[in-house]
Amino acid sequence: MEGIVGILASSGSVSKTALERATDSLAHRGPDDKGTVVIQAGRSSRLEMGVGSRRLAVLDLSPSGRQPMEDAETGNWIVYEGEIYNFREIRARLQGEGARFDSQSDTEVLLKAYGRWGEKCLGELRGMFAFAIWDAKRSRLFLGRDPMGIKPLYYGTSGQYFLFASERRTLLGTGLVPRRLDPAGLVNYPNFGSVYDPITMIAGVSALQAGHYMVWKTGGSRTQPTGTSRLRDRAKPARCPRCHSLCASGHGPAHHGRSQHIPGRQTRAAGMKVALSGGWG
Amino acid sequence: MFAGYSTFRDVPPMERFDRFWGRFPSFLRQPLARTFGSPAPDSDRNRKLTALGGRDGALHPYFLARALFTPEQCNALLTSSDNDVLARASSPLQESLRRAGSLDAINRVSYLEARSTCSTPCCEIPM
Repeated sequence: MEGIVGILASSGSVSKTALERATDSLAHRGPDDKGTVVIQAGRSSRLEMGVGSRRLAVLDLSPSGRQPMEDAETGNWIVYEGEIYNFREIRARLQGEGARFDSQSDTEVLLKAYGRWGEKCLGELRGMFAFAIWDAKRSRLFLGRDPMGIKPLYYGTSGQYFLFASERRTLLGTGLVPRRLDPAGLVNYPNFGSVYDPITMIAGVSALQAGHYMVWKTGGSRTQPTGTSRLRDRAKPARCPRCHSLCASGHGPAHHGRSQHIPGRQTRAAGMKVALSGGWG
Repeated sequence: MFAGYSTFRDVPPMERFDRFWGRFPSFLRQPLARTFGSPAPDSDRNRKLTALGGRDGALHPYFLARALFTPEQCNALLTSSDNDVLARASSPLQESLRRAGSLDAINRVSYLEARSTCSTPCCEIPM
């Protein structure tokens, strides 16, 4: 797990102190590295954008995988949390289209994929991710989240600021988001034990929903489903091929998923260990 | 993945009962549910079954199974909440249901479980 944060000022400037503080608040998510950058985001406007990352190095442990990362070809910037299991295939496709890479990280693959394919790149990704890309050419911020919502991403607007982060308390920690309870979150939490996305417990802060992306531009934002989360297409057969029933034995995932999914997740440069807890019969 | 959870055992039969019960005229459902529910021991399970029988599509069986309070108890607890807040609070639940509607009963529960666990799990302590 890593942590990402961003503060976009539509007029005025981004406080480096607030950005540093917000990034430090995510230290528990990424102990291996820290990076922040403030981008003069608009050529003609007064947009300024600060992004920060706490990195847990899993792929490409070298400094070339550092974040925030810039694409020298397009001028786009990315902060990203997650793991894209099919990044090698995407990388090969992009190389076939002439893209050049400086690292072995999936972060750079995502950055280049967005640079080439725009928001359609989301349809190519298999994995768990939450990310933000500053699109320099179009002067817009692009946020994306994986189809199952494994990786968190929250955002909010306060005055001239648009903010996003992996955790709500990071947004509060900037001092830019008022500490007010959202009564709708308050209704859900005691009753269901969780607050359903996009609602949160904090008024003015929302969660980017699973399988959605958001585009922020001066004057407004829009949120849309990525089109990769059509459930019927993704659902595995519920009947187990071994016992031919709607079994709760755990045969299903073991039979259906092992050959396809486990090798796909063995992409890490860091060591891997497994701990199991459960009651498969 | 989550197949050991009680919701996988409880919700599909509740959905079947809900479909069967939905054939009765709505004006009969609530009194019938109260009649059948009143002699039953006072427990969360029986309160939820009574709520399921008496409901008018207000809460899907999955959320009823998961909820700490029945809709009736919620209304009693939240008398000061206005309707907009309640509507906004329930809209993500309805959206999840809409998305899960094309799935079979087991995968529907699986999806709703995933939505619940991947949603905001608990309050964080603000810095």
